[in-house]
Amino acid sequence: MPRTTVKVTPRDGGWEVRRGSSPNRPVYATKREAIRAARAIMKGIELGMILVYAPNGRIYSREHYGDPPIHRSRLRSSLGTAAIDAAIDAVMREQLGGD
Amino acid sequence: MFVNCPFDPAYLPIFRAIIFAIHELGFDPRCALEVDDASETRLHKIVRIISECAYGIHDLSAVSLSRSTNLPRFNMPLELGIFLGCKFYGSPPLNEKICLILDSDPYRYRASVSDLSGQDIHCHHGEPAQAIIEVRNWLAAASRAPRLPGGANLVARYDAFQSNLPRLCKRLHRQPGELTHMDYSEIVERWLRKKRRGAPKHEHL
Repeated sequence: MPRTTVKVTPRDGGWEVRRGSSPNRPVYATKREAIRAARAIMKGIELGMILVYAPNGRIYSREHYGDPPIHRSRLRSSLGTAAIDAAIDAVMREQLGGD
Repeated sequence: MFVNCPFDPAYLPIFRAIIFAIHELGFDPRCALEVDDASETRLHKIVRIISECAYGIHDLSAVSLSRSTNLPRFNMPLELGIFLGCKFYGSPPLNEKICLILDSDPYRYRASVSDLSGQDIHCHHGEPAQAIIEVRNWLAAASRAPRLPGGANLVARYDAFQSNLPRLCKRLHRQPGELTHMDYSEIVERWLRKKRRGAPKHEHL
């Protein structure tokens, strides 16, 4: 099954939403609006991903659609779920380079 | 998903790749390392976990002569035998179990477990990425689960996770090599959940 990728990228002071090589690339004033538009596109898609880019060209975030749900294991680490979540959040923020 | 494989450091890269793939594909990895309960013998624990799992991954690549004892390790074939015994002698759902048998090289198993001749054995050639692809392709066919990500996609996500792991461990005051199976498994699960949701900054959108 083909995977559809919708990219949200900064453009001319706004945020462009691009699906594949489609010539229809609307630009929104804010990132919030652009991501809402990208999510609306994904509503009709079985398998895909939204990629949001930072102004420096790096990927700011991803949202996956249609992947199998992650199974919640009944077995937990002694590290603690909250500590693991905090570490993951911190590393993700580091990757974004503080943008 | 029962995982029957060696737990020694040399095998750790393949073991961890398989655990990641199982999580990513929407299943729950189970193995003998999951509970440290001295009141339950290891064999009882393994039998119990096997009985609770519809699927099993059995890696025979570590069935080789030990330098210290000059004897092969029989734990993996023994656990495979228990799994197959369930399938052959059990009543539903035990006889509906499905398994993947892995080895490092094609036909190597014939020298030690020749009774498996005729079985479809998959090879990872000692490569974690190949192990991920074999697990994914087998599970796509065995589970008939729709929309499983492709092998290359899985490997790319595993590489991304691997590149994050040292920094995650630093924040958790651990070394990557000293994570227990439970630690590693929950870190993978939480990381995948957050990746699917998007970066934390998305929360204020």
